[in-house]
Amino acid sequence: MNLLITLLKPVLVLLALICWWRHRMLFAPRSGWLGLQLAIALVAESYASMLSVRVLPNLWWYDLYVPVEFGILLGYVHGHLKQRWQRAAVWPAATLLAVAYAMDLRSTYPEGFVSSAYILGSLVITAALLALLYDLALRTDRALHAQPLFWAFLGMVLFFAGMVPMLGPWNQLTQESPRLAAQLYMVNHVLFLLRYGGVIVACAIREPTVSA
Amino acid sequence: MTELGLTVVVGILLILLVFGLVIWLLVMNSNRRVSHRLEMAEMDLARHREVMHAEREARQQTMQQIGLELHDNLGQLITVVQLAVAHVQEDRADTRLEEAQNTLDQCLAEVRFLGRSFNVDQWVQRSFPDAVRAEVARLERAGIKNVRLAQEGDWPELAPGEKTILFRICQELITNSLKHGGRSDIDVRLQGGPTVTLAVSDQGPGFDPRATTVANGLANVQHRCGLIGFRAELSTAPGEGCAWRIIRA
Repeated sequence: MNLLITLLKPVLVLLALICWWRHRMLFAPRSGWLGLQLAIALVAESYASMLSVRVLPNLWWYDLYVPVEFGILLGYVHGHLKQRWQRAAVWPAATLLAVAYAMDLRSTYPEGFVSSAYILGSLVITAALLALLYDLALRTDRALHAQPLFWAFLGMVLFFAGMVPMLGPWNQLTQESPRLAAQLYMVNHVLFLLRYGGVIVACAIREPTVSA
Repeated sequence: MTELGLTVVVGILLILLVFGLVIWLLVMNSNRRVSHRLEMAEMDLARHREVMHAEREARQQTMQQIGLELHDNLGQLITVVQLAVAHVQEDRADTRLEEAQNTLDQCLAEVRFLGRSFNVDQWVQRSFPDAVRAEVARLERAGIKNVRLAQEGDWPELAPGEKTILFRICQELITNSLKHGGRSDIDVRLQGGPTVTLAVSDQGPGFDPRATTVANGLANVQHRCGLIGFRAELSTAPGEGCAWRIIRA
């Protein structure tokens, strides 16, 4: 079961990437950043799945992927933020994340996962996405649930907010109870589905285009 | 509490907070859209009122011009004819000329009355019941039909423009009864108080209110009622007379 889900993760990302490509204007501005993140996620998840199938450790691979993912997402979110102070706050947040990542990597590599940096990054992205959702709710004349961006942001916010309680005890749990940690990892699959499912839903509820 | 437990609790609280915020955003967005729709409806209503107001002003101006023309031009022409007839009468006494002179006198009086009634300024001094009373008296004088007027309660003071339009509606309804009400008397009732109502009824042959020509007339009366914040109700059927009620909405 776990193996099947592991293999299905890249498929889900691929579907999200195809949806994004077909309706990339829905995610503007800086839609390209989201596309890049999806493309890199496809590579990362495919390689991680391959390692997992061969029963090889893949945490080091995620340790490499994490700073890239947060960097691209912060860039994407930066393009959407309307307030000047919000955009300015992204830079110190990125610096803080880089420092936390370096410190975390130093203490956990090669056995552990950079969970502290990931938690910090998740909190930053969650706060930024909530600000975007608030802004979207304020400026749209249409129903919020009819906005493609709402679903894309909601998927991401649920993923990153959900990752905090999951990754908090991660390293400790993998040492003390690997079986429990593996069971807890099921939460990650659900959150994964919500995150990339959000992009697919966003494309599915897009406004009908008028063809000439 | 262990560090692990604390992280889980904080994380779960964060998820609950996120869910709460998303629900709040959805509710806020929905409320904002509802208030936006209300604002749009109010703006639409205000624009509609402005159009009605402009329409009313244009109509009043036209009527005033017609009134002036009747009074100044037609009135003068009749006076010239009157003088000419009087001049002929001086040379030759003739009962037919005397009758023509009387008719011309009556015609001049009617034209002047009509000219004055088109003049909107007169409504500043004149109340609506007074105007209806004068109209009923004029019809009584003409002796075509019995027109009865009854008033209940205090009739409210209306703006001159509103009075003019309501009076025109009243005139149209009375004229309809004169034309189509057979030999039946006409009852005009003014009801003041909380429900301001003008009622015009007859016990004539009545008609089918669904007939196209009637529907047009009804729409016309309703449109004019709408201009001044009134609504029209018609109750009629073949053989059952006709009753109009013009009620302030």
